[in-house]
Amino acid sequence: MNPVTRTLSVGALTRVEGEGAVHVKLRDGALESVELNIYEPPRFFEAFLRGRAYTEPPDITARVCGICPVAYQVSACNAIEDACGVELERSLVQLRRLLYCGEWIHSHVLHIYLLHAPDFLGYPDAISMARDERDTVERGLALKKAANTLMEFIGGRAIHPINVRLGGFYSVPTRRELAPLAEGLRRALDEALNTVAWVSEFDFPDLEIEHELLALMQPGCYPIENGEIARSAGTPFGAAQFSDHVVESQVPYSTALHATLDGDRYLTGPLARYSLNSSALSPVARQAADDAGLGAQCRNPFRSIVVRAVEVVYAIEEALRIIDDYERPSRPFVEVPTRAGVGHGVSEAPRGLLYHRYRIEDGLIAAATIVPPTSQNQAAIEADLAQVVSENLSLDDSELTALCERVIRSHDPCISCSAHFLRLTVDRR
Amino acid sequence: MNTVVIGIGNEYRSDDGVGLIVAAAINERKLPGVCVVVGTEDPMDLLDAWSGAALALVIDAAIASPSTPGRIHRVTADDLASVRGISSHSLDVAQVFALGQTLGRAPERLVVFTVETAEVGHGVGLTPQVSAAVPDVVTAALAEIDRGN
Repeated sequence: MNPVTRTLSVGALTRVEGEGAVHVKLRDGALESVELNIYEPPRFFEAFLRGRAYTEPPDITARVCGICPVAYQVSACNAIEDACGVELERSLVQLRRLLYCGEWIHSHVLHIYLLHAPDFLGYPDAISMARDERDTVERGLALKKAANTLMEFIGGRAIHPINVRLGGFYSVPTRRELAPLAEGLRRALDEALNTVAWVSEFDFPDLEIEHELLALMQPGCYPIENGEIARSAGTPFGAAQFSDHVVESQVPYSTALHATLDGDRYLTGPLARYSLNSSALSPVARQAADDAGLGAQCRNPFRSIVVRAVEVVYAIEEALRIIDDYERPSRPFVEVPTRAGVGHGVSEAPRGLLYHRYRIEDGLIAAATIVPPTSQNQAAIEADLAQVVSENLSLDDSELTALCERVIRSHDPCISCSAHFLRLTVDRR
Repeated sequence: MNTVVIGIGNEYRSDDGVGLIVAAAINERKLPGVCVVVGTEDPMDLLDAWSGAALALVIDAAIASPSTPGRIHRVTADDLASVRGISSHSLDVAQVFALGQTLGRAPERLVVFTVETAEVGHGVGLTPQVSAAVPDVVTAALAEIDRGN
């Protein structure tokens, strides 16, 4: 058979957070390589944190991302509080978790309704989808608004909250002030359950991933603002051991680093979090997951939209629980006096585990390391693309390209966090 | 509400605050049927801000390269349709307007004024060149409001 060369380009990979490209090479009908090419210029956060006061990383690193600033603030606080040997009282930790619930709801709803659902319903974008599904899109917007209200209330504003500081918050609400928030969240819970029912009816392409899964685990609850690092094929370890297991390396075609877990690719994010923690879901979220047909684990990236919808239900229920149990902390923050040393912090950003490490000397940051979820997931996303392409070689280029884009969107990569996404080319020879 | 004036920016970042200052100047005039909104962060907030308005005026700072600080640009919804999205994290103004039209939550007329900046670093207060443009933007905005009545 003569070699066949076909090249296909998509000018813009849309509905992902950030900019980059994917290159798929096929030779004589077989897959040769897949490269996830993140070409956003490096952002140098770790470099310009050096020499800044040890109190500054929560505010500075929040600017890494407009979708998950709370994740950056919380992982940074956890790391610096660890370095300084400070533990927060439970009420302050719960308030941090409440703010983080707002971020999960906001980020997941944005992805479900505006970025991901159009793939399943055959629309090019959410605006086209809104023509036929007006009430559905309005439901998504109402949920997003509930999340914004929560974040504004606890964080001072919805994007890049200003009320977070080392040791807690600048100010904390009274119990009475929280009451109106609960009203809005109770309505949102119904909308969230309707969201699970809606997405569970979509058609999901077959794909079963075999990567090792990595996510936090928290005693007695679904992991959000802290925890031990759990994995699907190994014993859990603490944040301080993260770099003993996870190694980052440069690849020539991407400005984001690739990470491996004990030498192999792995996946963090909703699928990992759910698969390692589904038994810790609240009863309503667990029931929603059961009704949606999710088992104890979910290893199909296309079904991640259902997992995200279930996590929205959980985050709303959890927010309501925290508000219900809330006792105003005796002080808005605990002092975090500087101490020379190294601290490690982890939390579950909407897209997965976010690790921060700081070395503090003389009250200044001497070294900083940030490992965001999307760079951890790069190798897994490439492997999923390779698997999907290999299993669907009979599709024509446009169908195959569309399927590749769907794979990528299923992982909700935040390319701005990992460095940034845009062009997709398939090169068939 | 016939008109909503939406000032966008950060008053603690020098010229980035120009949209807020223009909005405040229009607010002082207490014009009947004109509502002034500031403090929107996410472009999606515009949907709520302009729902039900016949005319929406959005005023923001613009970073241009090379910059002519104080230069004013007027952009309509039609112009926006050809602007390539600049937000990788949410919908941009053009997309929010399109979504608003689909949902029946867009103003009948949208005009965006932007003012080129000299300085958007830390600090309160506009640079002289941008400050000098404020009365002209206010005049242009008021002319749009008059046109609508």
